[in-house]
Amino acid sequence: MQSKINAFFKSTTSDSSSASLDIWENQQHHIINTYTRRRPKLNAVIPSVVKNKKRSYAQFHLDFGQSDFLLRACSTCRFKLDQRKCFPSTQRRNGSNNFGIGERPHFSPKKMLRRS
Amino acid sequence: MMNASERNATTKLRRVGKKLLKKSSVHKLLPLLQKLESLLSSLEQEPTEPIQESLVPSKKALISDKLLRHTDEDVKLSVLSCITEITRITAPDAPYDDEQMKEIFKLIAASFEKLSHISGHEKALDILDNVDKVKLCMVMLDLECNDLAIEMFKHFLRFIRSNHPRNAIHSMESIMTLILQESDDISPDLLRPLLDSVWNENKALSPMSWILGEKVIRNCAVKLKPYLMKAVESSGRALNEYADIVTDICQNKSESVNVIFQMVLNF
Repeated sequence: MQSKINAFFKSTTSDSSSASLDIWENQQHHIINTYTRRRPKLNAVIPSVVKNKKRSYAQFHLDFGQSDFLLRACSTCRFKLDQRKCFPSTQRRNGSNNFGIGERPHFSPKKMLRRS
Repeated sequence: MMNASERNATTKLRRVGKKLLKKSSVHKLLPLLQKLESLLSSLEQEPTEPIQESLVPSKKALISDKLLRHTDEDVKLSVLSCITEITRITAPDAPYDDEQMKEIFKLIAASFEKLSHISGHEKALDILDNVDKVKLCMVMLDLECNDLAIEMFKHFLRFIRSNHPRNAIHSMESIMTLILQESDDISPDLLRPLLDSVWNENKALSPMSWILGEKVIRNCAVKLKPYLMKAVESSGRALNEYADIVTDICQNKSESVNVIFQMVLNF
């Protein structure tokens, strides 16, 4: 018990001395931040918030100006043909001569093959 | 990664904070508060997160009714000194909520009454210094503690002494100037202590008060101009019963005031 009491007083004295030195050493602080006035609440500008805004899910089509896919009507037989070749588009897809009733081609593919 | 000194500080801060919550007797609290004040004064602003966390127990202990409303005056002053140290560390953010800060400002204003004591006003001087350094009165104005500002003015102008340290006198001047400059509106009640200090008869009674009041009025001449004449009229005294600076401001001699101000700066 005696040793504990002595240690207590010794510790207290040591702390007190250390505290005094600490206070003396740290009297000068670097003040970086200071308090400033807050904006008055009544004059604060509250930005308007859009509520219940409906979202639109409509789809949009991109128009690159090529909706006809380069198809042009033949001035002779009125069929819509790829402008690169004067062949009926249906023939290319089906591989058969599926002409309309009463319509005949104005050229003969077989003849072209014979020539080459 | 914390260095050794930081780890030491955090450990001590936590330990002291926890002890403060448990102790209640004066002879045990005062050494703890002294220790805490020493630790706090060793910290700089913008502390690291470990330091901030280690401050939490002390912050809670200091704002508790047990300490903040302690009956012993020395304990209360030590508590306030520690709190103002914390406000220095946490600036520009107040360490407590608005209601707690209002309570703290009441006690701070009351603590300045200690400035009138011949001895034992060291803690009040420490509080004064911290309030001035971090412009803590800005928070007081935000919280519309106008009565406390008036109380501070009264204490400063009534209790200023020639034996006060020079930096303390400067702090009084700075605080009053800041309050006037930053106030949205200046009430006659706030000006009354100032006018009383520069009443001609007070020049002989309390020369230090006269000098302080004159300096503050000169610092805030432009701000005070719209209010000063009304305050003089409501005081019941004639304009020529006050210091010349009051007459100069009221009679729209701003140029001469500026000239004097420039002369003071050049000197």
